[in-house]
Amino acid sequence: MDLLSIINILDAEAIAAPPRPGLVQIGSVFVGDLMSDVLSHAGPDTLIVTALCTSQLVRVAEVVDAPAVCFVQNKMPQQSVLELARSKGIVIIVTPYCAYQSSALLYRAGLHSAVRPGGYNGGYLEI
Amino acid sequence: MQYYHSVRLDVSRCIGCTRCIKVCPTEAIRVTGRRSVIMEDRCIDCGECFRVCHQHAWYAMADPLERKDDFDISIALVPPSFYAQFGPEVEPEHVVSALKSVGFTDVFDAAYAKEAMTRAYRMFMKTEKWEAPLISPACPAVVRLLQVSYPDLLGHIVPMDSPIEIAAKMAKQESDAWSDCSFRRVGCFFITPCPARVTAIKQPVGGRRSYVDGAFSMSDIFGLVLKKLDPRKSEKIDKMATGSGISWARSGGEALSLGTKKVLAVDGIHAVITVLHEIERGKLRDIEFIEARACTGGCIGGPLTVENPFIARVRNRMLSEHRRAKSLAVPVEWVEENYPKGYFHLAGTIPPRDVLRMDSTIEGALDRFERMEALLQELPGYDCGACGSPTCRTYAQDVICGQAAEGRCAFQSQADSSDSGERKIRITCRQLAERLGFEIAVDSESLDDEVNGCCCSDMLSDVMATARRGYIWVTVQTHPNIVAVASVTGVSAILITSDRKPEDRTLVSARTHGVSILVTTKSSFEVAGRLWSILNQ
Amino acid sequence: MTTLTFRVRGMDFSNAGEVGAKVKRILHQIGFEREVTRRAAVAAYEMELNIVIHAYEGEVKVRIFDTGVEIIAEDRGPGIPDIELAMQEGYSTAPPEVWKMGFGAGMGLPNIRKCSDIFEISSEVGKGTYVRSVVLRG
Repeated sequence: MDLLSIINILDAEAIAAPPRPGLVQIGSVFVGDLMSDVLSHAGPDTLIVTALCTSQLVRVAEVVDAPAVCFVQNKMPQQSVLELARSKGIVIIVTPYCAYQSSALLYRAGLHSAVRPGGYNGGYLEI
Repeated sequence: MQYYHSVRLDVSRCIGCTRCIKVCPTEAIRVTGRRSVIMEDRCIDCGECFRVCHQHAWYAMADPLERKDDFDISIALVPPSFYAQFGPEVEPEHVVSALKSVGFTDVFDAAYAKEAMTRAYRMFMKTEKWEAPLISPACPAVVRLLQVSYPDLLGHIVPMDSPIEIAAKMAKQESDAWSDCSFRRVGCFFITPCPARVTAIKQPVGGRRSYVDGAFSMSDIFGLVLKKLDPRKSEKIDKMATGSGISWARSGGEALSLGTKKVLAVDGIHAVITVLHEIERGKLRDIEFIEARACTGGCIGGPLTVENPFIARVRNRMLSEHRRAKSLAVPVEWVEENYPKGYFHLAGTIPPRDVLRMDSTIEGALDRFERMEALLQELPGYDCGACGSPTCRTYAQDVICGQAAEGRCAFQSQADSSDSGERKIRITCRQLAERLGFEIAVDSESLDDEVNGCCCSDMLSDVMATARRGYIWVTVQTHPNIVAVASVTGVSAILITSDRKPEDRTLVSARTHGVSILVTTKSSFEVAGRLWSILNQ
Repeated sequence: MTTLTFRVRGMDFSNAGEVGAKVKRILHQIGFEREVTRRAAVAAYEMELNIVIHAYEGEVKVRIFDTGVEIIAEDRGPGIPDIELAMQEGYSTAPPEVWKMGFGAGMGLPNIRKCSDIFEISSEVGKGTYVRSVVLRG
């Protein structure tokens, strides 16, 4: 799904964006606020939905090549965070919805979870 | 891959009534924007849509009669079902003569090739290894049905060309023998009772070109022949089938011709599906050969025929009984000579059409499958078709695979609009846990509270600010502090996602404070999506 | 991971074979290799029929992972007194009326083992039987 559709679904506003957000493709969603979690599950097609609007988050997104981050509940990051995101080419959008509602809307739109089916460890087939 | 289809839709006539979506055996039709839309890779050209359409929006595309003039010699391949379209006084010889008056150079009796097939089947069953039950390759709609819906049964199809291909091959070789025309300038044209045969000629399953150069609709040619019929004019052809080949036009004829009792004949595409289903269930291993015909009654029931199939059946039966003979018209030596040369064998294998898969990756498909099951729970199960998909299950699949918009279900949206604003259902935490398969790690009284909201966050300060009494708190945090936060905010339960296990101290603390803890292997994102679906149904 | 649970009733021959057919269809939809699908469907089918023929009632649970399929059949029934004997091809205790329907050739358990990468069976006489089969991809 392209980022424009996601911005529509979430009634969001892009506060750091490339010139053509329609070209950014999102295949999966990760929701959570723990850095280590983001690191282990987000990937190059993941939209990270979080309430944590710090510069660390942008750096983590960069490490995992995630193209976009969504801050929930209209949380506005500091200017320095935005500048960092722009310099790394990471899109930042802000939605008025909480993490729960944002997830629900994206889930209903058919997006996959960035966490692979089966969960973290418990999903493996016992041999 | 691009598929050729002879069954087509005249969009200007379609009113989106949904009659056709319900009868399509491969669920290939949807209604969107008050018009039917066909999924090309699923359509098998059986013509069921064509039969039920009141608006005559569906039609079959065959060749125009002028096509035969592109060839120096044009041979009409006449199936026995064509003879059955005329009254009892009309003999096949009259029809042959009339066809020549219509402009064909020559006429070849397709039933003759069917008798050759009978002999070839017997040789195949005697000399080669095969898995029972064999399925006849004669009906093109059935072969395509297997490609789309029963790919595992493709190996049961006798690996031979259809009798019409064999007929064209024989007719062309015959004509080569008596004329000096090159092979290419001899054109074979089949008078078809069904659109599926048109497709089979334009795009044969084996991959190579068809020996047949065109197909004319039986209903188109019927009137022309009727006008030229003359009781005084009849012409014998030397390669005329006996009763056995003629009986292939009606259901049961092919099976009977094999001369063994371990055969089964089934006609009508939905009846065929029930039999295929039985084979898939591992039954019918005692049956050697299955004659399956997509049309009720066999080829005489084809969508392009003119006569009532029950009347045509009687005509066909009378003709085949009248021409009954001790042995088949095709000499056994001829088949014995040509069979080992591969005369009857299909050039390639019949490939499955990969239309059942829900996603390009296994992980994605598993995820979608689970969501489809979840959405299906919310649908009424009436299979009314009002949403434009034939069943609730296909609708759920369409939504999850992005092929249909959500909210098209008349019953689902009725429930929504009957209430102003957001309607929430009454459900307790325990019921939710059971429905979504959450494991209960700490069971306390609050599990029986009604759930009235959800908070999805891993930051304790955020939870303190947003969580309320009666909420479910979705998080990946497991340390004992979460119990304190839960107890202060009064949430009904903490739901720990992503297969994290709460620490022992957390469990102990939760028990003493009367806080409930649930655990799931699913991610926070997925859980939020599911909870929302249930709470805002 | 997806879990599907099917209830199976003893002597319910009109629905026998449904589980195998459904598992096959679903694995096709999910896109498993045909050989894996076939083996899993055969195992599910045989487990289902074992319940139909021998037990009072039972459950076939199918768990689908991206790496393979696990099928567990648990029933309430007479149990198997001698598992080693039951595992022999052609050994059957199915009643004659079942033979007449084309079942009970004594190939069920050996067939499941043949199709499985991992096969477990345990049984308690008078209580019931537990069979677990895992079919792995690649």
